[in-house]
Amino acid sequence: MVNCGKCGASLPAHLLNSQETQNCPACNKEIRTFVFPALFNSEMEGNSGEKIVIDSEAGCFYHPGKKAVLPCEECGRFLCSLCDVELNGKHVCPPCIESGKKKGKIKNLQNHRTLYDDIALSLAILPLLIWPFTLITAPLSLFFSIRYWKAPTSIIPRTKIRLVLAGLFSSLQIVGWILIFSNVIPDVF
Amino acid sequence: MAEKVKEYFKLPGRGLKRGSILLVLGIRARLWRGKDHVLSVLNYRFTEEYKRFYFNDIQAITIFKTRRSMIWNTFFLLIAILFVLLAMKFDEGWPVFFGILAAIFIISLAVNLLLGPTCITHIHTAVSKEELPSLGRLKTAIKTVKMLKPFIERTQGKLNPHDIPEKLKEKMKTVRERASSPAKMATSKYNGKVHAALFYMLLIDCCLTVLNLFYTNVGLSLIYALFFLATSALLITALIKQHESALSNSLKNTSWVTLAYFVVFYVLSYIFFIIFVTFKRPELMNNQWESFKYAASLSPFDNPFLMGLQIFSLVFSFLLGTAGLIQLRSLTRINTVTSGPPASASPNSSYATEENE
Repeated sequence: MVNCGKCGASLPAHLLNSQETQNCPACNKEIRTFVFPALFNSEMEGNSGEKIVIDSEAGCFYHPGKKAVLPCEECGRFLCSLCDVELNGKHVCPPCIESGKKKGKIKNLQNHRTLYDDIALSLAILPLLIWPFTLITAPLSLFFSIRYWKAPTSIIPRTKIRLVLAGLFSSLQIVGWILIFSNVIPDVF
Repeated sequence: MAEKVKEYFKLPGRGLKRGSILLVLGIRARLWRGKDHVLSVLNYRFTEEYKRFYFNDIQAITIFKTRRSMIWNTFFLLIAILFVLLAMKFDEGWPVFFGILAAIFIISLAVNLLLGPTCITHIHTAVSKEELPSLGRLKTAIKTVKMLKPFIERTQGKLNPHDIPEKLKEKMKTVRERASSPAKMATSKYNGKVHAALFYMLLIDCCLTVLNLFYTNVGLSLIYALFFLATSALLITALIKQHESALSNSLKNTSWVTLAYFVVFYVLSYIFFIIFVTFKRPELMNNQWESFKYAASLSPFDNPFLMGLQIFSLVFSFLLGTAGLIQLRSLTRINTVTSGPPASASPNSSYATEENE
């Protein structure tokens, strides 16, 4: 059912897919609802897999008592309908999904990414506010921009401009420090 | 060389996750459209979190208007007026300074007015209901949903508006059948009667405190003490009853705040008793009744600590009692609307079926 986002009351039919905002009958909030056919679909029951009736029938690798319906397209193991998972048009088994998720092979399952380019750029720019810190952060930023040049960044489209800028700024800071030291050290000795 | 196919397309709207404004720079949110799903991206500055809503699974998108924009407008306007007044009051360079500050707030007000009313958008699937923080402005939210609609309809098919009441009726029937099975009733049927009694007693406590301010009488103090003990017992019962009940979180929190108030009040009363009775009249220490009589004879107008304690009690009892009763009233209102007529009402019946039937 579609409930009001504010008070949680079920919304009456005349509020669904209305052309204008309407008032929720319970909390009087102005609400607009867009509903789609999936709302009225009956919930599908889970498949438990058929049992093996004849000895010659192939069994599932994970449930030997259940009839195999197809092989996993990644590892080739026989799977029953309970173990068969359709992902991106391929039939795979749950352990392959798990390992694919861990190795980052299945993009659709990734729900978290570290933005190394943002880290590198922040390390190159933010410490300029307290510039002596750049003595440590500039080499770090340069390291990040080189080390993670090929590492996957955000899933959404992104250029390498942050890494380029980070490398540029951190290199300039390192050059600056070299110049400072080259002037100071001879004076000290 | 093969051209790289664009996988995601940016959708309008950007915003901060609610509550994240307190964090440094906040958690930024954006929406992207993929081949077969909507991708909600939460940017935590150095990491990103993704949530995918497949077109095939999206059941509904709800947008409800909030008053956030109006509150900000009032705030910007008031601050701008304040700075204009300050600019008029002072001279020698200060008018320019305050004028610039006023201009900043007037520009903010203008921008906020241009962006239009605010809203909260939720995306519903069979198993989840997620807020989309990037769709925080009504205009943008409606525009984005209208952009997404063709893609969802291409996957799911179109919904005939005339079929909605009938389909909703059928769905409600299934939901009610499923909910009526006793195994699935997770929450208790507690309707908040103990809470109502507690909040009424807090308001009566207010009246007794006012009486206690002007009349120092042992009998009245005794009634007051017994009444406070009874209210404490009621509070404990309310806290037990609200556990796993369907009461709103704000109402549950009000009960917990009441507990905190009671604890503070008991501690302060104990400190008062130690300082003004035990230390000032040590001879009464071994006689509880005489100590009580002495404490009751003290007038708040002669004792600032006692006055402070009484005002503290008066303010908190009034605020918590009133807030609790208002919350209970809105809960009753929602229940009346969402459940059908009392004779046929099941706890899960809805207004929708009432409307259709």
